[in-house]
Amino acid sequence: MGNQPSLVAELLRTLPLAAAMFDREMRYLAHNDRWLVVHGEPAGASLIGRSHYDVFPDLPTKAHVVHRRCVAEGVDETGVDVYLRADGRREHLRWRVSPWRDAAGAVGGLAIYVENIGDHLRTEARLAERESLIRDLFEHSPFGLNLCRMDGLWLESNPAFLDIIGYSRTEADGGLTYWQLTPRKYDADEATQLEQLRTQRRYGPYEKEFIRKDGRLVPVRLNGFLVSRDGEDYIWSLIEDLTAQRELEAKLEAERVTAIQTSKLATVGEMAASFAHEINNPLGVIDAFAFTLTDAIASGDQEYLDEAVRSIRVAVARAGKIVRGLGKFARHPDSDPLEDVAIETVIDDALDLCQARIRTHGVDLAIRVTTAGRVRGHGIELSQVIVNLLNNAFDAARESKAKWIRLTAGDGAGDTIEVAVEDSGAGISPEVEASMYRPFFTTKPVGTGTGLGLSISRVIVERHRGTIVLDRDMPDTCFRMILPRLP
Amino acid sequence: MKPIVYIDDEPMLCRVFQRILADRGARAVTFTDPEAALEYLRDHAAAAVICDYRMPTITGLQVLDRIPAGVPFFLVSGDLGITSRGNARVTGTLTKPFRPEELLDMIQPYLAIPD
Repeated sequence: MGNQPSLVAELLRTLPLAAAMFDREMRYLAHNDRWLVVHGEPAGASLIGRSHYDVFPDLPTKAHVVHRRCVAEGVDETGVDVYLRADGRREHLRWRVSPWRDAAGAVGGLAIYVENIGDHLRTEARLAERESLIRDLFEHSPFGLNLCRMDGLWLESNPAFLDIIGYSRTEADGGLTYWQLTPRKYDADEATQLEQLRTQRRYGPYEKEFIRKDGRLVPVRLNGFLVSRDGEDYIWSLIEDLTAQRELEAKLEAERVTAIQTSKLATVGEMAASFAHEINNPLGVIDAFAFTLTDAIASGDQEYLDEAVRSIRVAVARAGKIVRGLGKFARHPDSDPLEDVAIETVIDDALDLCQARIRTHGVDLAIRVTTAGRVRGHGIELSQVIVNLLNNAFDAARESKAKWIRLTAGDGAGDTIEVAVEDSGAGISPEVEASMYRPFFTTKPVGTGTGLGLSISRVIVERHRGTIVLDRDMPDTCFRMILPRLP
Repeated sequence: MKPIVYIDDEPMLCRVFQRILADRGARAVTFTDPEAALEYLRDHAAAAVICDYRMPTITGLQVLDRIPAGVPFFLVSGDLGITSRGNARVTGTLTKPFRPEELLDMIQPYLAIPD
């Protein structure tokens, strides 16, 4: 044999597998160290000369059968067996049994190679598990998920997304594009999002609508990012259906409008006495002049007749102004649309209601408007805020010695308009300040205030993206309404 | 004849009631400024005073406090809830809106009081 055994031993030692050679009776002719490791034998042990079946008496019968067949028929066999080790570990062993032949070509015995593939299997199982997790997430996500090509063709849509757009998976994936379901009015916004996608590799949050299969528009919020696959870019998008959110917002908005209207009517109610006064005086003037007309006509007093007619008309105009102001103020919110409105108009409408009342009670009212600025909003709602501030100022000022109210409007810092209402009243304590925006909080005597004025005013101002503050830097009580000014 | 003094901050009402009272042969002196009326009343004996309740600087009842006792005083009020009930010095009240006839009926006894 010369140095052949050592060559065989070297070959075995360097094999990346566990290997052993047997004679026809399954006695060990050679094995490497890996064979010992795989079979749990102590390192350095030698099995040479021993029978395989003596070393491993628990070897399954199946193995005996395979060995016999391979020796008898001279064929190879391979397989994977699971072995439960004494310590409870399961091992997956892939094996190959090959007959070896002598110089004459007869089968001299078997070579067996064994590879522990447990780790490999575990990795595969983990990958499969992850894949299934991700697939579950995709399929059951309450958010719409969608993969599309850069030209907008949809490739993969999850059920949540298909629900949003109302198409089936076969209709959508590979058949529909993003652009087919996007209303044209979003063209400009789309360009912005695409630019963001190009520069930052992500886009959103982007709120838009999709055109559903049934033609209905569905409000959605999108977020997405670019992924590369085989050198090509694709877009993953996460799509949220905003229908429920929009419905809730609409409901809250309707409730706010109702609250504002209710408070407006309550304000009108609180001011009813002064409206009565302001209408009664003109009525009295008209009635009294009419009473004198018969005699004046009989006596031919033309000068007096002219004066009477003039006075009656002045009185009608004055009463008409109050009634118109009231009608405008108390009418349904539908007739107070969102529009560009001059702050001066807002103030004038408020003064139509408040001015006479304030002055009749001997409170001096100074008005200074130094801006021609306009705001975007509901004019009557904003007038309501000024009416509320003037009414509060009035209640405070009439109890004071100085009895004055100052209403100023001007341009504020950073494209704003500021309307300030100051009064000579006793001021507002920190305790009152802490609670004054709360609904139903009032310092007025029972039955004279609903306690809604400031709370509703704040709701209105915030709806107009403005603020209302008590300006503590001023020496007198000063409320300031700050609104964004239109360019 | 003692004058009827009419006080109301609305000039048109002063003007027309002066005419109405004059048409009835009475002497009427009207004031839109209550302070001017009080000054007049210090020097002149009035047959009656008709005074609006709600005026910028002062109320009708505050005017009443400052005129001599014994002058018949009629309070005119448009404010809901203002009442002179319980004030013995108020001779009568008129609630706005009132008809000119109501005012005339009420002050009829004072239209021709000699000096």
